[in-house]
Amino acid sequence: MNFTTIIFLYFFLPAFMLVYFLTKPAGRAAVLTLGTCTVIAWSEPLGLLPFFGSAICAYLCGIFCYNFREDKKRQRRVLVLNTVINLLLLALFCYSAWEQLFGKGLFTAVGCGIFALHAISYCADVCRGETEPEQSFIRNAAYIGFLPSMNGIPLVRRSDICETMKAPRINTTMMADGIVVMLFGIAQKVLIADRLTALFEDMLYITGGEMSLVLSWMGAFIFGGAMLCRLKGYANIARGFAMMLGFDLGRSFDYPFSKLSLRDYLNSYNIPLVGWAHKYIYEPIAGNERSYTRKLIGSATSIILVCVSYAPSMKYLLWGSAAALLILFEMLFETRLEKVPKPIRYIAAHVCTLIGWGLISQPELVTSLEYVSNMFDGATLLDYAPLLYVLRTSAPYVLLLVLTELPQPIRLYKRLESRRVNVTAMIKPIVIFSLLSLCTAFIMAEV
Amino acid sequence: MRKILDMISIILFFALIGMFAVSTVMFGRLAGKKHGESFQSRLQRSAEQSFPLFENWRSVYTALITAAGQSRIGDIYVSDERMIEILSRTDEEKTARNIEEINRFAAAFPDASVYAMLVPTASGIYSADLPMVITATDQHKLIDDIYFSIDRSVVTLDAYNPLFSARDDYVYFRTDSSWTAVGAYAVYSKTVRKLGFTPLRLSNYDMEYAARDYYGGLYYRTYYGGTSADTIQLFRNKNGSFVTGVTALRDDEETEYSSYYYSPALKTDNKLDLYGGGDLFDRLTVRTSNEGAPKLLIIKGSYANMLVPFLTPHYSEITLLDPRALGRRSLEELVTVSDYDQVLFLFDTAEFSTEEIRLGVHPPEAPAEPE
Repeated sequence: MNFTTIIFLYFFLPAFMLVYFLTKPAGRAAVLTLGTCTVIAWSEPLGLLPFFGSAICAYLCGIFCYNFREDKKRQRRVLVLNTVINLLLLALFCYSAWEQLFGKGLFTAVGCGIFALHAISYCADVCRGETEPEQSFIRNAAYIGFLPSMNGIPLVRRSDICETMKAPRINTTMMADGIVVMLFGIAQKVLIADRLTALFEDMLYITGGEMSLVLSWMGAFIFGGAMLCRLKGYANIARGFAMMLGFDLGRSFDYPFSKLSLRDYLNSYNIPLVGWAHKYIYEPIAGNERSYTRKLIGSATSIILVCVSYAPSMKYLLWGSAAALLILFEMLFETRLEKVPKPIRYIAAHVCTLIGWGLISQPELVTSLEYVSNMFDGATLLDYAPLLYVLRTSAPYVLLLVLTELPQPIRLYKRLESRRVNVTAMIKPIVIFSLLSLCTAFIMAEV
Repeated sequence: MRKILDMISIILFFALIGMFAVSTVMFGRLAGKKHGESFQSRLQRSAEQSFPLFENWRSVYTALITAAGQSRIGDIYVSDERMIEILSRTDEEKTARNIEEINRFAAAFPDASVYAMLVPTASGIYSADLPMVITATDQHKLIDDIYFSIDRSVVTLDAYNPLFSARDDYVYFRTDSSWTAVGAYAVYSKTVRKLGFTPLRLSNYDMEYAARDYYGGLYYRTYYGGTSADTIQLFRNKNGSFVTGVTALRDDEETEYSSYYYSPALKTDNKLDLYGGGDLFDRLTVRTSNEGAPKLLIIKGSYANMLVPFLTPHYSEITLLDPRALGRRSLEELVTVSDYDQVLFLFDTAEFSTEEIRLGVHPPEAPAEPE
């Protein structure tokens, strides 16, 4: 079940919230698990198999990892077993590896990426002694398939929610804020991301693939903006939904467009995923030693895997490798680069990200490479008619994108919130009504 | 104070979504099952289709999109003057197969006089009105190319130029993708000579309005309120109707009607079905008082319905056959081609170049050469 559909917003959400509200706090983890099962089964009832497979595996391995804490060798074996099983589930049911190897046969399971990675991180945390194993299977399953993250973003660390999970409490202010954040997320997805994606497809169509140089840079920006907004939208929906349920998840994006280096850009883009890669890929490779080479290898591997996790294909591998190379370059020459004037660093970093967007903007690797070559060697420098059309039609959405990417509106909101006369609480009902109407109109347009 | 305001926000949100959800369940109905559709997606589709204020949501969306500077909603170009469904992608394989189907028909019935008419859609006639960046297929060239590939024994009728010359008249509906009776007359008056008749002058007809505020299919796909409503015109012959009876076949059941105009359609949203029932019937036979006049078989797309009223003065019988209704059946199971003096293939360019026409006709095997 997609969170930006009528069926979720108008049917699943109120029904689920009613049951959640009526259940005692201690039993809410069971309601959460039931909600996850409904979301998975709605798309594919068989998707429950990998979910429970992953949950049972993580539950048992978590307990074994804890019991073998004195015997590191056996603990490692259990950890490897859990990791291998979950990676296998991830490959088969999230990335359709089966389909690519043997043709059609297996289905994809909604949220599989989330529950496989949650299961891996949970056991690793137990092994490291950073968290205690969960004794209740239901609470463990509620974390492994954390309902608000079921649209693929964000990953949640168990230590962040395990206390709340024992008895989640509904808080009026948090719920009201959660509704606004969730509706804002839906608006980002349907109002900005979907429109920009349609516009990008339109651009490709009207130019027949032969874009002028200026237009292809603009296309890369529109494509990148659409992808950012889609992910941000889903992250905000999850965050708002979690707030409604009594969980505080934290932000997933930290204004990547305002960063001066690629490294900062990456670290502020889908923060939970980057954090996960840092903890469970970079740290094991880099180790505690002070070997610089191992650190570089660890960084490169985690960057490549983060990029490939969006869609495992050659173009994403190329994208990840290029990003890893550039970031390693930044790390190696960090002190020298700091002397370069900020505007130049900003322009260089964002030119690189735009080329990166160009590289993944097309369905095939060859056409993607052609697109990137077009960014330097376009058919013409400027083609006024399509450029003006794209400028005119994209202007409102780009404006909205920029507005959501600036920290100032949030700062203003916080300043208003801290005033004695609470303006934000007063305008909240109006904001909710307007966002709900807008989102519904745009969702209905796709029907 | 803050808590009270937050509580109001929460109650407002859940009251709104609860209200819409309850009203959808109470007044909605389960949508018909589509082939291969799961129960969940059917339920989702039903909820979306029965969602309250469906039209209003769509029109809000269109109003916002057009206010933001976009003039294209999906494949439809909207302006205050008219809506145009843009034909921008043609399926070359299907087009080639459709041409092959006509050629095979001509080969299977060498004695029949076969005619073919491809009518351009509004996107071909008004392509100059579209913004420069919206590229529509050049339908003049498309029709020429198709006519060039059709067998020489088939007489092709030009509908493009008559419509292009009359483009300032009301030849296409503003809110529907169909042509109007005025457009059909423009083509009739220029092409009927090739069928062997002299066209009747427009002064022989009285025009009346069957519906004055008709909103067509394009409106229901965009809900754009800027284009004014259409009128459905009927051209009645001043000397009285030639039609003596109509036999309609649908799902192997024959029904008799006294007029070509199917008046129950006026009570539905598809008011254009007034013309011969639209695409409702598998086969429609119109009998006229011109006994002894030739008989015409039209293998038709939706555009043919508009032309038939102008052809009735020249024929004793006109049979309309919709190949889409044939399914796996062959054309010969529904009509005997040798009974007709003329056979006319009439489609619009969009239908002909994107949909598959299957007649199930096979030309007789060529006799083997004597050794």
